[in-house]
Amino acid sequence: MSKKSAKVSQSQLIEELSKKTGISKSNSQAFINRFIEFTLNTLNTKGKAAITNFGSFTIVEAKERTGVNPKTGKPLVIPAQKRISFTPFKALEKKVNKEFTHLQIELPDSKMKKNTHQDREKNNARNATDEIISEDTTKNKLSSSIYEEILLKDKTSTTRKQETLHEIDDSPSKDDIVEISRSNDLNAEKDVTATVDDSFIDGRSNLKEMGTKKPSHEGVEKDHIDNAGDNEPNYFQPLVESRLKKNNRIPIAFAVLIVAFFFSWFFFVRPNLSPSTITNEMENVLDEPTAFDNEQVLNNAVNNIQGFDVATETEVPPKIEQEVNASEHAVKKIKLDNKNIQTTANTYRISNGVWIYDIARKTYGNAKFWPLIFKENYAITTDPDLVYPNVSLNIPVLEGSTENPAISDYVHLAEAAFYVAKAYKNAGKDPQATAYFKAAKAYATKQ
Amino acid sequence: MKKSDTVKYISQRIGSTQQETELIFDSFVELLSEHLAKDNGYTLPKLGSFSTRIRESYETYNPHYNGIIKLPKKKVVRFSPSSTLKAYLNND
Repeated sequence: MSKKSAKVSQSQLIEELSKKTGISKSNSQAFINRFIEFTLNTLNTKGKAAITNFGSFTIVEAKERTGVNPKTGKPLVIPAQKRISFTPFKALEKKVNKEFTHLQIELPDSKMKKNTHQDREKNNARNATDEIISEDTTKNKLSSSIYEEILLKDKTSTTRKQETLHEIDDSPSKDDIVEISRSNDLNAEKDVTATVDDSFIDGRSNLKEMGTKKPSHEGVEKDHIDNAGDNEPNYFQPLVESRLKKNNRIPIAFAVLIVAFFFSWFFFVRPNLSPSTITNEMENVLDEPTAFDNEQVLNNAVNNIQGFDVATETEVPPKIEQEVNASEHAVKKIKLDNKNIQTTANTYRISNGVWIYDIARKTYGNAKFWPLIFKENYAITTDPDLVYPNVSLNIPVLEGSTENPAISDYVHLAEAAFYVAKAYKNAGKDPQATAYFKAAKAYATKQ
Repeated sequence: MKKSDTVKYISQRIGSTQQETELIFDSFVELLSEHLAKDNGYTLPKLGSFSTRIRESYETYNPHYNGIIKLPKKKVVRFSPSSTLKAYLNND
């Protein structure tokens, strides 16, 4: 039903204007021309122009875009353009849409606001489920299915008030009155009123039936739920919010569990031992009294080590007369290796990230002998704390047992401790260095 | 752009008083809107043409009602600018 609008010519407009106002045709033509001129000027200068009670013009800029040439199918660059858009004002919109103002929005449920006689009868009769569904033969399946559900459920409520969604001008507006009083052309008046009356009969009759309900503000009402009966459930629950809340609990719980797991692992499970932290333990160990027979060796060791001072750090290594013994020890080591006495593994193959301290514990049974391993396998420039051997190590064999180490073992241990202390000092870890200097001294003096 | 501005501009050019031009202005605008209400289209030279179109009812989603709504039929005003105006704007 798209009937094309009839056209009114310029001359007709001029005639009508002159009749309405009483000015000459030439004057009205001039007026119209100036009127248009002014709107165009403001448009050009400001980008916007408005005519009161009519509408406004605005310039809209369209960006450059790539389209397609419909004939060839090749891409085509559409240049940037300026366009004019016209937005009518509400007075004009109302006037133009007077024919259809009684029509209302159809909502997707049983609370459909149908304003006509026939629909009201149907609703009251309660025999209309099939009929109403058949009416709603829209393309959209969703709306019809919802409709069916709700109708079948809802059979008890009887109160069906009607609501207005569009403002319906029951009383004549001021503009109409002014028009009628001013215009001299009787034909024009009649045309306007005639069209209004003819199309508005149905609306007016329904208005009377509806009673004294005030028309609501324009547009869709927001408190539509007021008309719902008590038995009817609220169909417009905010489902989205509840879903979000439920879904958020589970991942948060998982995150908390994972954090707790890592926390416990980090602080309780992971071995938190390093040689430098064990110096206190070593000192405690060293305080234990032990008995030795060979005093000469002890005295010699003391004499040799008394030479260096920890404070000034004159790094005179402990002179050990028993260089021969050392070589013998070395020889013994090798011999022991061949004979395979005592230790099961003289070379130790290690996985990544094992402390020498742990290796000493595993091989010797007591971790305090780790400096021997360090001295045997690593240069003095390496930092003992940062050693993570992952190759085989040569492990010197103790002459005595771990529980009763021999004097020479202590001597070697003193050397090794001195070595370790120097290594720490080279690495820049002075507290560990001093501790091991002391330990070396203690080992030497112990015998 | 206010009514008073147009009235001033026009009154100066035509040679009538502002009150008169105001009355003419009002009546002119009423005339235009009446013609549109009657489904009569017209053109204003150098500006463009006005006409009415009927927009059939269509369905859209309304988040407030959380469903699809069927909007009713409606008559709307349509404006199409003149070619001179388009050319003037784009070549400017």
